[in-house]
Amino acid sequence: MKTTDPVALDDWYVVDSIADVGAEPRRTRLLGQDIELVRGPDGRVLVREVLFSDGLGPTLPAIERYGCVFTTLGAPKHDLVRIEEAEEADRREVICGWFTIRASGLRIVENFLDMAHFPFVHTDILGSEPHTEVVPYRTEILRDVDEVWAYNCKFFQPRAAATEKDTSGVMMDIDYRVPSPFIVMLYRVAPSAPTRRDAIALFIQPIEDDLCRAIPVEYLVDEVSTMTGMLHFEQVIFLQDRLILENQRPRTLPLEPRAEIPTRADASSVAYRRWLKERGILYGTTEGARILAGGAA
Amino acid sequence: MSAWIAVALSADVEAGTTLGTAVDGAEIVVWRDAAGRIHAWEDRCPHRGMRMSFGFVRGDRIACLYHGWQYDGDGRCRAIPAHPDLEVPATIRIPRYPVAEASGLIWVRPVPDGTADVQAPPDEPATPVRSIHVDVPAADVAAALAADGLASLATAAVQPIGPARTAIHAVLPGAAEPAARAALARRLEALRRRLEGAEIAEVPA
Repeated sequence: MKTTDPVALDDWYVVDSIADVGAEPRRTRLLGQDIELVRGPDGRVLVREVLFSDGLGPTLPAIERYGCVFTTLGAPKHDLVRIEEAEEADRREVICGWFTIRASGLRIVENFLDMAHFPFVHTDILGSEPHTEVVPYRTEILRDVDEVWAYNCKFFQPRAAATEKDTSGVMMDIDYRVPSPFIVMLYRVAPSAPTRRDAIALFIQPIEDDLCRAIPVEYLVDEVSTMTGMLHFEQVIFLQDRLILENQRPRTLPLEPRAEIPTRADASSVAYRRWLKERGILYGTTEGARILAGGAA
Repeated sequence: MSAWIAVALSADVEAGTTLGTAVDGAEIVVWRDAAGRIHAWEDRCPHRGMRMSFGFVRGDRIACLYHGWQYDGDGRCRAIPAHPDLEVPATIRIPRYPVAEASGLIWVRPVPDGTADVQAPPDEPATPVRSIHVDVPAADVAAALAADGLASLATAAVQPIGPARTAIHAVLPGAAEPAARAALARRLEALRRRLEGAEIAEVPA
């Protein structure tokens, strides 16, 4: 059933890949609501809610951008995130495959922001012992655009991208950006072009509050790796993260500060949880699950 | 006052390994350190809720797979790899369950941070046979075991995992021959087939 959380409803969400929507109607689920997508006679994607009677509701707002189809079940107060790197003609746009994860989308965002897990979950790829230290970095909630940012996040990485065959490693410098609760991005200096930054976005489609699918979209300066090589790299990283995400309890994200124990390395997740609390989102949170179910825990 | 519940065969948890299980829905990690001591804790790292049963054992410590936080045998976090110089506050710890090994089985009292003052089960020589999982409530398993008459020749300890999932941990007394172990294992498999309502014919002995 469609969620009743207004904060979750009033936002843009990825629901499909542009390339996959054609004349044949396709169904998926967003925030508990079944929707149907089809490419209309004028070539535009039509998105409609599937009603109880199996009829279709009126067309919903839809945006085709970043290789994906985005829609909303409510009235978003902001535009869809602007990714300037997508407008640069010499970049490679890599639209990776979809990953389905039995976890809250909010946990997926936190995992994306987290560096301390690199040596243990992505061993010898994104990090390795004994280079486990996370030095302090700066976080900020930008009030004018209502986004969370983390700046100059440094971590020693043996092989940060598909281009790096040499595994001697490099100190990565990463900025993270959360433009909306279920979208997260990182910017990192391109290994093969040190004056420019790769931009990597993860768009998350919340199906239920503890079930999502997600699609990474990258705007890279990389000219060396094959598409297959890069997709394989992302797939390995994602499957390693999924093992963690599907085994965190509770599956939903607890916003109550004493529920879990952050350290300084978790500054971006602390900022993210505080920002979520300020926004008042219930969907995907542990406290929200109780409230939305209409009863006590 | 909670009784002891068997959660595994001792032989199935080797030194340096972990096992994830549950008693009435409460998730438990059972792990054995390098020195051979058995531990049973709440299966959850207090950092970000990751199951400790996916973690790794090094020496007398267990580390969480997510961020490598290391816990000592008392359940206290001793090292946080993201902050190598940090002296970890004593408040960061994992609730422990009273655990005992007796008669070839690992027993747990499902009381978090409970005391071990309830008499542990008797420790008699035994030969491990197998653990078997059945997708029916524990009460049904116990009734089937009683009807089968297994209790007269073996210990078949029942573990209520969840509302419709139960484990049976079976050992034979003393030094048992391989044929006896195999026979008991087949008898347990037949019991499971009856309980789960399978219609396929039994595999000939």
